[in-house]
Amino acid sequence: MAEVKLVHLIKDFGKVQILKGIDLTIPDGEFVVLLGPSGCGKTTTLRLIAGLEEVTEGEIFIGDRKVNNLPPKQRDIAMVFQSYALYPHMTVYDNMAFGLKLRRVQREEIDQKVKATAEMMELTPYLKRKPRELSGGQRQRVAVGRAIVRNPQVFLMDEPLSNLDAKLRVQMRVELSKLHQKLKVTTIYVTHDQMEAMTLGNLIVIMNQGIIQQMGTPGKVYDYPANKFVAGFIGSPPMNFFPAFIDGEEEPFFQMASFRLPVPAQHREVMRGYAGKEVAFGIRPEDITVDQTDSEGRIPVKAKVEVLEMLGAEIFLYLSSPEEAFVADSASEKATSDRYLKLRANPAHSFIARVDPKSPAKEGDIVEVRFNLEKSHAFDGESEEAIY
Amino acid sequence: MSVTTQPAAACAAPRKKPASVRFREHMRRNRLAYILLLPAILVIAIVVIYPFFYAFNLAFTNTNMYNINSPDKTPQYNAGANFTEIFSDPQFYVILGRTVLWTVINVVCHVSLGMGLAILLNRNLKIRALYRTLLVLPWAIPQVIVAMMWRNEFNTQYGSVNLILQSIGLPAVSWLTNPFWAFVAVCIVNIWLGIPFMMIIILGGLQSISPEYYEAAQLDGATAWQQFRRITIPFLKPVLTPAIVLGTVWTFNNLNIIYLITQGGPNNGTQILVTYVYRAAFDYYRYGYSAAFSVIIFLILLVFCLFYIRATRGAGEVT
Amino acid sequence: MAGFFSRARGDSPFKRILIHLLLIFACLVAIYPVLRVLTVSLRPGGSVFSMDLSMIPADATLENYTQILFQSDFWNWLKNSLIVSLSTALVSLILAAPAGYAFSRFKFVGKQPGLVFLLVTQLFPATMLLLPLYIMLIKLSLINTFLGLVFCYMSISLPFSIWILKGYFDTIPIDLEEAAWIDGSTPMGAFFRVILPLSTPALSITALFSFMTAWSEYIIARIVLQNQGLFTWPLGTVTLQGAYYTNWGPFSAAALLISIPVVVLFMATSRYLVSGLTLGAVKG
Ligand SMILES: Nc1ncnc2c1ncn2[C@@H]1O[C@H](COP(=O)(O)OP(=O)(O)O)[C@@H](O)[C@H]1O
Ligand SMILES: [Mg+2]
Repeated sequence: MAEVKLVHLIKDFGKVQILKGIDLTIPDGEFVVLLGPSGCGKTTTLRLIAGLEEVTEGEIFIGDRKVNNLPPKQRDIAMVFQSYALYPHMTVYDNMAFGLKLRRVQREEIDQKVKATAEMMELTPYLKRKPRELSGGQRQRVAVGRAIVRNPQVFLMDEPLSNLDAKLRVQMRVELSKLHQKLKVTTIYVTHDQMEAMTLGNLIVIMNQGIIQQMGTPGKVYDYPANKFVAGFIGSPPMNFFPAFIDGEEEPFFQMASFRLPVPAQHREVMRGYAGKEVAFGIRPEDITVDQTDSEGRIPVKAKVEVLEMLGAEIFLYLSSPEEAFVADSASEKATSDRYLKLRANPAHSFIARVDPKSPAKEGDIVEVRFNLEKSHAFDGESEEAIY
Repeated sequence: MSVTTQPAAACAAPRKKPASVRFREHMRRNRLAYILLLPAILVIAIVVIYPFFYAFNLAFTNTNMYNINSPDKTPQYNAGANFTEIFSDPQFYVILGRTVLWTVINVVCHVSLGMGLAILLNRNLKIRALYRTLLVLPWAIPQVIVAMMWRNEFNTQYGSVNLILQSIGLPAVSWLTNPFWAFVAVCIVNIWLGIPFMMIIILGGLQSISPEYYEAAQLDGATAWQQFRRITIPFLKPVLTPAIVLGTVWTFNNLNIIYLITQGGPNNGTQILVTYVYRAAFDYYRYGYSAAFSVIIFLILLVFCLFYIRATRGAGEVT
Repeated sequence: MAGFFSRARGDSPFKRILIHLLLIFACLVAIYPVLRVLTVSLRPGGSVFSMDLSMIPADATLENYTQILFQSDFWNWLKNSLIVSLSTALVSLILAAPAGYAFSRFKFVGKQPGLVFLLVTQLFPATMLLLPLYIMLIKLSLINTFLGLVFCYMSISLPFSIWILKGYFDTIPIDLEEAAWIDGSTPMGAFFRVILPLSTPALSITALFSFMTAWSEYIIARIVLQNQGLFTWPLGTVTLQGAYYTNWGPFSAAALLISIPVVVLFMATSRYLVSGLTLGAVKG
């Protein structure tokens, strides 16, 4: 077991820079999920750690060894491939024993280790079978078994569950979690599925376009996204964003295209600095309500229900804020400013609310929605970094 | 070429590295490739590459059996005299024409008859495997035996071809002594021989076409011919194109059948380019001349292939 | 009728009969010459020039077979052929497998031109290489030796084998080697312990192809081997018949004896051979 440290890792393929300086320290024994959209460089990162690709610039440490120039076999890691990459001509037993044999482990010891691992992975009845005689889930187990039997310092897993059906995926997710609790081996787990990441990881590292966007616990990245990308990527349905600018001197407010909302009291201080600047107002679907009565004195905004998705325990409302809903109450100078005109150019805005199934809203209704501003977010209009 | 992703395959880094460093890195990554290649390359250099260039060299000399190893008369470069001789010989054009005719006749028959049989075979017949096995037989028998066997059957007096012709009241044909009929005879043999290859290739192609396409077309009211034109042919193209190129090259270069049945005779009436040059080399020992002739044949085929590939590329691929 | 060119689900009975008749006719054409060889081989020596068309002659005898098996050089020819063919197959395989792997997995200087060259060798007329090789063999005193003949055969089988094997290796996902490297094997080790065992079908087919090329070859053998004692079976069998086509009986018996194992072997493997051929060709 060991800590894994990536220091300003850069990887070029030809003239294209795929990884643009990854700095990441994965504590010993941690289960870290590398999350990001397809093509963002997750697999490449993993392959660099494994030694399957050569580093362009930067350093990789496993434990306290710098492994940049070590071949894969000397890095003491194990990898579970997306395709499993089981050796088709070997039995399950031989697949698991292969790495041990190459390391010249005693025959009895190999036998004992393989059998113990098979027991743990519930593969004992299948030891004599070839991979093609196994189901997808069993193959997946063999792939994991092959990785753990060697007792490596680090596990690398590249979307190991993506070839399984939905039900099996959930089940294997739980098993992988348990396995990690038992073995406590540093694990780097790659996925593009944010649900999987949220349920599995002690730590989530969110990547986009070859850059790490944020690292933190599932709760932290959900509640305090570091930037607009993370906010939009985590959560399903994703966070709603409204283009806005900040107006109002003492009590700043978000001026949206067709309505305005006050900045919550605890963030006024920081938002004053953004007076007159473009920002993005963000709010998660569950922080929007359509209740007719409002006890907390929230400001109602009119919106039209375009589509209603009934999911049993909850409802997704696809809403649009109608253009005419906004009655210009101020002919103030600011209202005619460029920024305001820019917002007005695209007034209709759609967003999603996640509401109680007892809600009376119907498709086509004009409803009053209210935002839980305590849970709102604001992002810098240019850098897209979170302001609060 | 597919992208190879492995440490050894990453191409040299693009930036600011001197050539010597790049070379060393390349060698470190790809050393194994050169080790693996070395034995094969050595042998290929000896049995293919050297002879290949030797042939070009030979083509410009007057080498023959009498001067090749004699101390007083050494072979001389003759300034392309071999090529001049070949191109100014009317016989060359006759033989070239016959070779083209031979190739076209054979390939057309191979493809059309092979396709016909493949289409017949491509359905749920109980004894399909038996038909298939029997139909492949001509391909399976060694060509020497095929040629000798057919030479006997074309015997004017005792061969079964004439016996059968006579039994249905037709006159006997002097197959191997009349130049025209001899050419017909070798064509028949080679067609018989080459159908199974095309049949098997096309059958493989047909079986990879999902029946759903035909069902959809039938729903749209397409006739059998339209289905053949619009579904079968486009889907077969990826297998058919290389098969036709291979078939053409093999037929153009097919030495066995003609050499063993007629030796190019009677009266050079069945001579094609390869049989002619083989005899020039090994029956008349004209090495320089034969080398020049071989080079010409090779260049003809090369040009054909380049044109064919360009033409089929241009026509657009099936996706 | 709409499904004539397609895999028919339900052909009408009339159409079925028509299809069977056509196929039976085609089969007859395909096997008739072979059956004739059988007939001729069963004829007694005196009635070789028979105008009889019946399949089994009335006076059938195994005389020709005994003559071939016990009074000719038949066994010697077979032995010679076996030596030459096995050597060709084995050496081609040993050289082609690593080379095909290098072509499949690595980028090296001259890879693309090399691949094109391997294909271009298929365009050579037989004499293109045979003539220079022949002259080389004379100069090296390798004429009339098996080694010389195997050299000539390598010029055909080696490029082809490399091409076929490269095509096969291309179909093996690279993940498997990567898994092996991570499991602790060297790149060379992954080739030997993972790739080669996985490729046994392709390796056998390639070896078989080389074997068959050498086994049935006449045109080159005729040039390289002039000593009767070294004759391979194609040379021997052709001499059996002689220039004046008088010896049909023994020739036919020999032809059948030789063909049967070859045909059986071919039938068993033709499927793979074809897929190998098209695989290689399509990629080009
Ligand atoms: N061997 C390679 N050569 C060139 N580009 C590559 C190679 N491997 C990956 N890439 C590119 O790098 C980017 C990141 O790939 P990858 O790490 O596989 O993404 P992810 O696993 O996050 O989906 C992609 O745009 C991909 O096209
Ligand atoms: Mg990936």
